[in-house]
Amino acid sequence: MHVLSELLTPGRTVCRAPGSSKKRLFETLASVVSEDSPGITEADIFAQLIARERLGSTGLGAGIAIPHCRIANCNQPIGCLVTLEEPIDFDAPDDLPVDILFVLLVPEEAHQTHLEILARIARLFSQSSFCEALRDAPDSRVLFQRATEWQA
Amino acid sequence: MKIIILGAGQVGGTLAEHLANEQNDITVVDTDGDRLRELQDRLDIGTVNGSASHPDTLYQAGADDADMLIAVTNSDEINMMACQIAHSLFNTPTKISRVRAPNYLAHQEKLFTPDNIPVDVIIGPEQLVTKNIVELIANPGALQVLDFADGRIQLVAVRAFHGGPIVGHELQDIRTHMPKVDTRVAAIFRRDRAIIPEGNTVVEADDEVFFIAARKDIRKVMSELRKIDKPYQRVMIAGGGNIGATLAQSIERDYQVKVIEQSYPRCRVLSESLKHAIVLHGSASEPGLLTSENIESTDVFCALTNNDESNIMMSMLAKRMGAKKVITLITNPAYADLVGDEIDIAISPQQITIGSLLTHVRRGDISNVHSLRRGAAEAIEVTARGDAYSSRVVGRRLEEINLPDGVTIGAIVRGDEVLIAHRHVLVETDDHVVLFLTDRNRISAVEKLFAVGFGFFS
Repeated sequence: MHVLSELLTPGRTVCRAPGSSKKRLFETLASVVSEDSPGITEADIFAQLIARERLGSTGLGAGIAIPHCRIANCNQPIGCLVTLEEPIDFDAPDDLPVDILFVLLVPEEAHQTHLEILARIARLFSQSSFCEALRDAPDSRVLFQRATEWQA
Repeated sequence: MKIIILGAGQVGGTLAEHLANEQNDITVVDTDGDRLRELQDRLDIGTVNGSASHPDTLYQAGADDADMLIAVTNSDEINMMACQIAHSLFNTPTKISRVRAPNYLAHQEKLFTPDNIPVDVIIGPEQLVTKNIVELIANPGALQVLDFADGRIQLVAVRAFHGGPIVGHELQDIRTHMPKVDTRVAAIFRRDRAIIPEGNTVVEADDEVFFIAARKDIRKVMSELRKIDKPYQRVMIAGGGNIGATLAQSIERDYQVKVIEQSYPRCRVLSESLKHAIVLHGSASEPGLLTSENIESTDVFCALTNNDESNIMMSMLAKRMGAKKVITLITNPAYADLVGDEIDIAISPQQITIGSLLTHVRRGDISNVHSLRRGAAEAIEVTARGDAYSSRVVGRRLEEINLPDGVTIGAIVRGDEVLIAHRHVLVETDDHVVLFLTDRNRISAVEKLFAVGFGFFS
């Protein structure tokens, strides 16, 4: 079950981040991921996330979004979990604002495995009890713990 | 999307109007408070009164959160500087700037890169207008000629006349008349109302018909709708400014070109840079000059000065004195509505510029937007991304695609191949699809149709 424990690190888990817009949020995400993942630049992550979003929203509905894209110099799939202080507009299919984001960055090759990982993440985040537990987390340490130790 | 528009002039204002209704968050910046108030009375937008390139103005306009900056103030330098500030201080993802001066545009590729002047998209209205007029001169009788897929296919607007073989007949008869030519009529406007054409739609005289065809077939299709005009030979250009000069330069090898310019020093410059065109010093509103330069045997008279009133008056004069066609540059939209049949084609630089700007504002992978019929309709070229699972378009035959009302698919371009839209054509990944929207308010539905699903990795 622990798809997240393979993808996340404590450094890439941020609880109740401030952020008033999609653009600023992507800046935060790009900076968090690049600091924790040598070889991947902040500018590249930012540009790729924006480009993917332009083709169609990665919002899942019910306040969840899973922005994902391929990245150069990325050796293995990388995850980053962020909950937000205030929900932001994300052009989600149900038009609800988003307050939980899981970013998935994958290497440029091996298409099929990525789709499977993405599907597993989407299944996990479609459980409302899991999302509620993440929303309630008081700090990043607990958030990381809950995300990686969750039993369905 | 959060979009900051710098400059509340005609382009900035019209753009705000287009975008404000499309679930965007728009802020307009200008130094003229009255103009901003006037816009804000009509539209649901934010405004900031200040110097467009100043960091504090941009900050106030919400540059921290903005997805896009569109710089269309009157000053090239302010526009470019604003893009630089937005890049350096606010990390704005997309920066679009209007740049007019041919001097900057001549070095476009070297200047406008992320490491130099960080502008993602340069819009040069004069270049766009010139290109537009060149196509109109090359296609006698067309009201509009618009390129898609780098000119492989074109959308042409033409008024149907008695004497065109298809007039009074059903559209499907075109195939029997011209079995080797493939075309698709994308829309018909009859007394200003849009008709979505079917095979059994009967074309009437005076219909404004928009059809799509490969570039090489345009003339043949036009000959179905009206008695075709002879190719133009003699072109007279009134006004030797940027547009007039660039136009003269790009057509002087293929046509007999005369340029009339009032300023003597400018005439000297023109006659040095033009190899074949004849440069005349004088005013095109002087009947004497027009007579002595054989206006009666002129095929096209282009009024391209920077003064609307002069352009309109000299066009009417030229037309009355025997010019076969007049093409008139009109920047004031109110005038464009006002002028009647005496002016054959009114060119609006704003509308052309806006189409070009919208290409980069729309969601999705879009390579062309043309704003039509004074902004009421739109033709777009969008790339179908994703696969049969992540797209609602890819892997489907055209008849299976659930198009919004008032939207037709005209053609598909696959690499170098042009496929005119027929029911059975199957859309493949990365096809360029050309669509016609009789009502531009359908654009959100089209964006949604082409949006990739959740499972798509870019």
